[in-house]
Amino acid sequence: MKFKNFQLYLILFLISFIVISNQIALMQIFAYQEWYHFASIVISMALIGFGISGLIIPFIQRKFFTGLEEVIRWIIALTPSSFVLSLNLYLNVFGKFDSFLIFHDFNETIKLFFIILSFTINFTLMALIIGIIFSTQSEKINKLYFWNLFGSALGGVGIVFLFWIIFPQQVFVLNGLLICLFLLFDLFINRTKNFFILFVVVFSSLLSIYFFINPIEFKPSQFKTISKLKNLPDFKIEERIKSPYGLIEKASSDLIRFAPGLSLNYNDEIPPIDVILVNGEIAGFLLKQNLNLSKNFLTESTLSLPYRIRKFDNVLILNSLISYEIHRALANKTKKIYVAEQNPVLIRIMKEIPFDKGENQIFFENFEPRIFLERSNTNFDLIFYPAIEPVGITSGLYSAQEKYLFTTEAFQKIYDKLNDEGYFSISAFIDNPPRTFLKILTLLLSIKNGDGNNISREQIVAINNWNVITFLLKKGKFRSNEVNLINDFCEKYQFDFFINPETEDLKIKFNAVFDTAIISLVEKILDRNFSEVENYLFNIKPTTDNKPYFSNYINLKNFNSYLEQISLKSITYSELGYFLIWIAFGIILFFTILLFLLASLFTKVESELKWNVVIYFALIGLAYMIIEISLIQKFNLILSADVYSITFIICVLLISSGMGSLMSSKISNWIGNKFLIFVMIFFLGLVAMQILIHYSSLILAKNFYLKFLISSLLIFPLGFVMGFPFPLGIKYFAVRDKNAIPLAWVINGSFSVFGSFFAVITLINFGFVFSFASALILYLICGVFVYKKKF
Amino acid sequence: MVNSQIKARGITDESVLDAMRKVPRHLFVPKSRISEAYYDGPLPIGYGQTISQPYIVAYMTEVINPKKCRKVLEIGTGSGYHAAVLAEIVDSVYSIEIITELYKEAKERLEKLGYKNIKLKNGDGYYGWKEHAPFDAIVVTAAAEFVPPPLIEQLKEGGKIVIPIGSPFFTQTLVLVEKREEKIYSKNLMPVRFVPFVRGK
Repeated sequence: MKFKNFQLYLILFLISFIVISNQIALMQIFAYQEWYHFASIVISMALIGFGISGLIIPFIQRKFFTGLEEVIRWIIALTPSSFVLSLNLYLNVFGKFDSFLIFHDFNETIKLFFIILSFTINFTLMALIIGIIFSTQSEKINKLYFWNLFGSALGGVGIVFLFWIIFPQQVFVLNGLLICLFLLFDLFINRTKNFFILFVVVFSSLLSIYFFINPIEFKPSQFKTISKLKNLPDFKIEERIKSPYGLIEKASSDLIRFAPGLSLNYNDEIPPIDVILVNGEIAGFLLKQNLNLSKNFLTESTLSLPYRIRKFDNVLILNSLISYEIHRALANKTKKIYVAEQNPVLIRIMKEIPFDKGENQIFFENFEPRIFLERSNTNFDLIFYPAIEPVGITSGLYSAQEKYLFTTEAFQKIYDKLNDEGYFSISAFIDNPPRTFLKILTLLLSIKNGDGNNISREQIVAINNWNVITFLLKKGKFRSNEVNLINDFCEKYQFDFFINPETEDLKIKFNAVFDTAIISLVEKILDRNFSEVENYLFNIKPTTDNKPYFSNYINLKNFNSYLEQISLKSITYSELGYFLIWIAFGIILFFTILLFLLASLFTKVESELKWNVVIYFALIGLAYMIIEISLIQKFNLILSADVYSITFIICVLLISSGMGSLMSSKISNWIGNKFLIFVMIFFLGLVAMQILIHYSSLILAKNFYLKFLISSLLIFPLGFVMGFPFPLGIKYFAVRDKNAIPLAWVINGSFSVFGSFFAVITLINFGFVFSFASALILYLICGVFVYKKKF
Repeated sequence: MVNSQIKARGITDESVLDAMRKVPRHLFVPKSRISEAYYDGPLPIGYGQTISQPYIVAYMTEVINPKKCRKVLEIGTGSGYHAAVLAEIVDSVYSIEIITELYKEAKERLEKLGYKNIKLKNGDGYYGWKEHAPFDAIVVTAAAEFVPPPLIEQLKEGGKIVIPIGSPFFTQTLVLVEKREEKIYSKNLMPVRFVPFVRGK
C-alpha cells in the first residue's frame, strides 16, 4: 500500500471518530423517534458492519491486490452519500416505521429489518476501510489499533458537545463533510488526477451541505405524546432546544390539561397548560395563570395527602413536573422547596417561571435525584415523588431502561434522608392487572429502620381515587390525630383510605377499583408473606441497583400461565421495550449466523487454524462487549445521564484499550506466558466489579470531576489489559496465515454483537453481577484455551 | 364475531348483541385493514388512535344499560364505530372528536350509512356538550387521567360514565363512574383475570 504512515493513522482516526459519533447520534435519533435509545441495537448494527466487512476483505484483496489504496479512496468517497441515504431511508422512506405497532403489523418488522440493513451497510463501508488497513498492515497492528481506538474515543467526546449546537441528523452529514474534506486534502497532497473520485466528492459535499442546512425532520411514532399533541388544532411548538439530554421542546395549546389524583367531586376549573417535552415525551407542565390558593385542582388530589397532615419547613421534590409540584408545595406554604433535576435546560426553564413564592424559598439543584440524595447534607420533612408514568400507558416501552430512583437502595436512602417524623410520598396510576403500585409497595416494605429492623405496617398509609393511589411512608408511626386528618381528607374528597395504619382491614368505600384477589395480595404483602409475590403474574419484587429495571414486570416463572390468560399481543404491549430488543436480536442474529456461515465457507485457511481463530476471537469479542454494556448500565447510576455515561465508558475503555494495544507486544514479551494476560483481565475485572457493587453509592456522591477521575481509574487498568488480546491474536495468526485475519475480523464483529445482546438480556433478567462475571469467566476460558494451544 | 368474541365472554343484552351484528365494522376501519376488521382486538386508525376491540365496545355499551338511556354523550368519536353501535339502541348519540381529520371522516361515514340520530362535533371533549345536557350516560373512549368536572356536571342523577384505563393495545380495564345522591362512586369493571382469547369472526 502506498499510503504513508501518517495518512494511514489519519484515515483510521477519522473513520473511527465517525463510526462512534454516528452511533451515538443514531441513539439520539432513536430516542426521539421511538421511546428509548436502543444502544445495544445501534452498537450491534455497527458491529455487524464490521463482520460483513471481514467477509468482503479477502475478495477485495484478491481482486485489487495492487490497487488497494485506490479501493480505500473509493470506499471513503462513497461513505458520505451512504450516510445521507440511510438517514433518508429511515426518516423519509421508512418514516412511518412505528415500534408501537411492531406486534400488530408484520410490515413493521420488515421495515425494522431494512432500517437495520441500511445502517449496517453504512457501517460496513467504514469497517471495510479499517479492516483493509488492518489486514494489509498487520505488522503495525499495535499502532493502527491505537489510532483506531483513539479516534473512537474522541468521536464519543466530541459528539456530546456537538449535541448542544446541532440536531443528531446533522451529525451524520457533518461527518460526511469531514470525509469529503479529507479526500480533497488527500487528492491535493498526492497530486492525484482522479476525476471520478473528485466528482463523487463534490457531489457528496453538495448533498451533505444541503442536508446540513435542511436537516431531515423527525417523524416520531404516531403513539408518542408529541405526535398526539400535534393532532390538537391549536398546538404550537414555541421553542426547540438542542441538548445532549435530548431534544427539548416547549409547546402550547389551550386544550392540554393534566390533573392526576383529582377528586371526582371537584367541580371547579382545570386550567389549560403548556408542556415541556423531552425527546417527544412530557417532562412537565407550565401553568398559564395563577392558581386560586384556597381551592384548586392540585389541592383536591390524592397527591396532596402529605400537605393535609401538616405544613412543612422543607420539602425535597424528586420530580417537579417542571412547575406543578412546586405550585403544590407553595400552595401549602412550604418554607424551603428543593427541586432535584439533572437536566440543566429544564432547570433554566423552571428558574424563568415567576412563582408566587412570597417569603418561601425555592432551591433548584442541578443533580439527578438519586445523586442529590447521596450528596446532600440536609434532611427533609417531606420527600415527594408525583405519580409514576403519567397516563400509565408507556411503562412497557421503558422496560429495558434503568431506573435507579426506584430501587431498594434508593428507597432506603430516601428514608434515611427524612427528618424524624418526616414523610415520603409517592403515587402511581392504577394499572390493570395491577403491578406498578404493588412494586412500589414491596419497595417501601424493603426499607429498614435505623435499628436494622424492617419498617412496620403502622408507618404506611395509602389512599386512592379511581385511577391513582398515593402512598405515604412516615419515619415513625402514624399518630391518631394524623389518621383522623387523613380520614377527613378522604371523606371530603371521596378518596378511599385503602391502607390505614390503625386497622388490619383494607378499606374501599367510594372507588371499587381493586378486586378481592388484589386486596388479598396487598394484605399478604403488608403481612410480609412474600410467597404470593413470587407467584403473581407479574414481577413485583423490589428492584435493586443490580437489576434496576423497575418497568420490567416479566415474571419468567409465570410466563406460561400469563400467556394462557392474556393474549400474546397484549403482553407484548405491557413490556414493549423488552420484546423489541428480542425482535431486533432476531434480525441481528439472522445476519450474524449468515456471516458466520459465509466466513467459515469462504475462508481458505487450514481447518485447525480456522477453528482456533473462531474460538479465540469469538471469546474475546463476546467478553469485551459484555463488559462494555454492563459498565454502561452501572455508570448510568454513577454518572446519571445516559449519553454521558455511554460516551464516558466508550471513551475511557477505548483509550485504555488503545494504549493497551500499543504496549501489548512489549508487555506480552516481558510477561512471557500469554495465559497470564487473561488471568490479569480476570482479576482486574473482579476488583472493578467488587468496587462497583459495594462503593457505587460512595462514588456517585462525589463531585463531578472527582467522580470522573475515580471512574477512569477504575476502568482504565481493566481496559488497558482488555486491549491486549485482539492485537496479539492478529499478530499470532497473521504469522501463520494472512488469510486468517479477515476471518478474525468477521468472528470478532459477529460475536461482539452476540455479546451486546447477551449483556442486555442478562442485565435485565439476572443483573449486573451475573453479566459482568460471565464476561470475566469467558476471558478466563480464553486464557485456558491459549494455554492449552500453547499460543 | 358476535358469538365467539362477545356472547361467549358473557355479554347477554340482546339489544347490544343485535347492534353489534348490525353495524358493519369493516366500513369503520382503514382500507388497508379491512381483512382484520373482525379481529379480536383493537386496530390502529391513524393519528395515534384506535378502533376498540369489539368486545370492549360491546362491554362499554352494555354497562351503561343502553335500553334505559335516551341520550348518550361520547367523548372521542374516532372512526364513529362506537357511536353507530350506540345509535342502534338509544334515541340520540352526541359525539365529540378533537382531531379534525377523524371528525370529518367519521361524519362522512356515518352520514353515508344513514345514521340520523348521531350528532357530531369537532371540539374539546373536556367541556362536554352543555346545550344537550343532561345525559343518561357518557362514554369516554380514550384513556384519561382525570374525569373532566363538566362531564360529571352534565350527567343525570343515576347516570353513568364509562372510561378506559391503559394503553390502547394492552388489554384495557374499564372504570364505571356513577352519580348517586350527589355523591360520585367509581368501580373497576374488569377483573384481574381476563376472559380467554377466542379467535374467529
